[in-house]
Amino acid sequence: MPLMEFFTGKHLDRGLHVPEHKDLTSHLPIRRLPFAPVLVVPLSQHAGVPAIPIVREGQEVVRGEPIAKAGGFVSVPMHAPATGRVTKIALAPSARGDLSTAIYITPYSAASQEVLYGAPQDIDNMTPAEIVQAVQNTGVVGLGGAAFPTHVKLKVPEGKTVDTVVVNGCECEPYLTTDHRVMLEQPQAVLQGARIAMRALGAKKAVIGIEDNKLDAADALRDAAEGTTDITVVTVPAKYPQGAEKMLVKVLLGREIPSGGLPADVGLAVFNVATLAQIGELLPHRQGLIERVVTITGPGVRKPGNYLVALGTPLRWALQQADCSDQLSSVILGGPMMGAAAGSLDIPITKGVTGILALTHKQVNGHSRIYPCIHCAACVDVCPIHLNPSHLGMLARKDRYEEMETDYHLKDCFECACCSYVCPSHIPLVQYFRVAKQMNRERKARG
Amino acid sequence: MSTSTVIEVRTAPHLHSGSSVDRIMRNVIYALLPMCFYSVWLFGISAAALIATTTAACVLIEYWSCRASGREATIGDFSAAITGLLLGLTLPPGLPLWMAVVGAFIAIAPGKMIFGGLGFNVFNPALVGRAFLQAAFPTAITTYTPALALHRLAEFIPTTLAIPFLKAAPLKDWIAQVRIDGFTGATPLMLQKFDHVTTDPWTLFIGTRAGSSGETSALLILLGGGYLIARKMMDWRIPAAMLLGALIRRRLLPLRPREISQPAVRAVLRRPHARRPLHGHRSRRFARHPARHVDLRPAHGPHHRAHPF
Repeated sequence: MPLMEFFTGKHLDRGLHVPEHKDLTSHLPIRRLPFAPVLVVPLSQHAGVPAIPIVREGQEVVRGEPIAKAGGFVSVPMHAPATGRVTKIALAPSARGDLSTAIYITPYSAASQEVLYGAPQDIDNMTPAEIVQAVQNTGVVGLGGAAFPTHVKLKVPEGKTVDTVVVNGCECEPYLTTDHRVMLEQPQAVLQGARIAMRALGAKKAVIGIEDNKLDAADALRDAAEGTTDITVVTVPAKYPQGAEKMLVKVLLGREIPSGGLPADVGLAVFNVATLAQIGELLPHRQGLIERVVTITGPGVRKPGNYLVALGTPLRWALQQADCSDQLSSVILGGPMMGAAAGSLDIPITKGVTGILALTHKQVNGHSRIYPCIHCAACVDVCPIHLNPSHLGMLARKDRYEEMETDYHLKDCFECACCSYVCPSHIPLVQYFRVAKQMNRERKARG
Repeated sequence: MSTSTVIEVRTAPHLHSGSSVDRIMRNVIYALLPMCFYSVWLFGISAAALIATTTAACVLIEYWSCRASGREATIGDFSAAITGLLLGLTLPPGLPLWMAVVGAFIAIAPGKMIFGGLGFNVFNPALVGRAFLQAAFPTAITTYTPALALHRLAEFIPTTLAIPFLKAAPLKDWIAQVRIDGFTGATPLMLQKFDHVTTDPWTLFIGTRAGSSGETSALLILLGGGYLIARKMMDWRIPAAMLLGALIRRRLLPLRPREISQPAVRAVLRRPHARRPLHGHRSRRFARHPARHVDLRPAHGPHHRAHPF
């Protein structure tokens, strides 16, 4: 790697170039959406234990006030996204497809967007443990899409040390521009968040990795970081899926996270820029996460943009605000490569939603025919973790799920979907792999 | 947006590169077409009939075998058409059409469909067909007709329309009638071997020579390959590695037959027990034979028969 790096610079050696479509929204400043008539705040919008409600039906809440407490360490509290009344605590549709408990809040008609709840907090004299607790209180989770509680990552695992904080500003998914706008408009918040993370983890430096299709964002961060030596901004050539944790760490620092391991195994902690920006904004004011930037884009909306959306806003409302067309055929939460298609427009926007991609019939191609694998090895060429998707796909067709895991490293697949994207036979490889992983989990659960 | 908007739910990825098997196969056909047209110009309507026959036969046989096994016909992926074109292009232009049909049947039925069709064949089906023809009809498949023969665009080569399972009329008289000066029915390798005539490289490159219908023009074959590389449907490293291998073998290692001197060959032939390798022999130790060409065919005689190579 170092030798190749000498000739080619830091780059991702596999993966692919997907049409970006980022220019639809990358130049549009972040704008705040009005409150929806009803906000639906699910208690489980993060990975881990659901939060426990601490409000009653009929209770009045103030924007920013906690309405649910963390259900454990790997859990975060929820905060009221708007001043209004809790109308009910009931089941609501979720992006996963099932119903989950949510707090319904009806904002008052004249409710202000200003956040009055909160109190100053001296972040400069906090111990790492205090920072972890304070971050948990803000309710911040990974805003890059994973929605894993951030404070858990701020706690260094037993027996390990973290020397570097990696800040992920790649945003390699097509269409999405939230991280881009956040870096451009809130560079100080990003740096503040990075410093907080460094202090919590005892890391000496931070590296911000940004793809070279967002050079203005890199410049903004460099300007903001001028005079400091502990935070460096590195641009890398844009390529999908560079924003995946393991890929970025390898490209930026040449460290390879072991199979099934965590970044802490190689002395790193990786955070999304938007996550750190929220920590940098919220922590000094002891506030909670009540809104996030969402890119609402795609050919299905006439007013695409980067919108600051109150958490709990139903998809239908957000799409209406972006003037969505009647030809809508598919709504995707997140980017088009890894995002899940929404099963209903009543799903609320949660902490992990990076973008809403509205596609019309033109983009969603018909049920194209699946041909047999012709062994062209296009999938092998693009797999960023050097698996053999072609062979895995054939094993999946034969229901040999166990062999896929034991002999062909299925578990390392993070479902970036490069293989499905390039497959000329239109084999739904990633779908096979998801099914295979689920079958393996179920088999293990049965014992 | 009405409240009754129907949205579809699919799994990620929601984008696709747009490449597809039938598109790749179609482009392979485009890459082969220049050779087909050139072959028709070079060898006349017999070549056209041959290529059309193998292509049609391959497609029909694939259709038939899909039907026979109760599956949906797979001819829409164009792979059978490619097999047909390739088979036609690897056969001598004057090959009797009924043999071509036999070759097409072997290529598709046991060569491809028996294994499960596209993507499951062990060998290249067109070459399976050709190998079968080579074994079954050794004379017909080594009977080449001259390029640019007279009346080639008006008359078939006599053997083309031979009646199945009957001996075709010998071509000698016909060749004497139609050949243009300088064009023989022998391929460059045959010329080199039997007549000690080396074909000049430009002719080999352009392809105005005898041979299988599609093999003659290196230029058009390179163009076809270049097209597929440009469309990113072929990995350039594969042919490049093959050509580089040939180049290294040809230019850097002293293994050319002309560099193996006649006395050295005789020495080996005379004393077969001597473990002296023929290839890689350090020819400098021997005076070069004046002849530029060494005939490596086994010499006839009792001496040799006892100890073939």
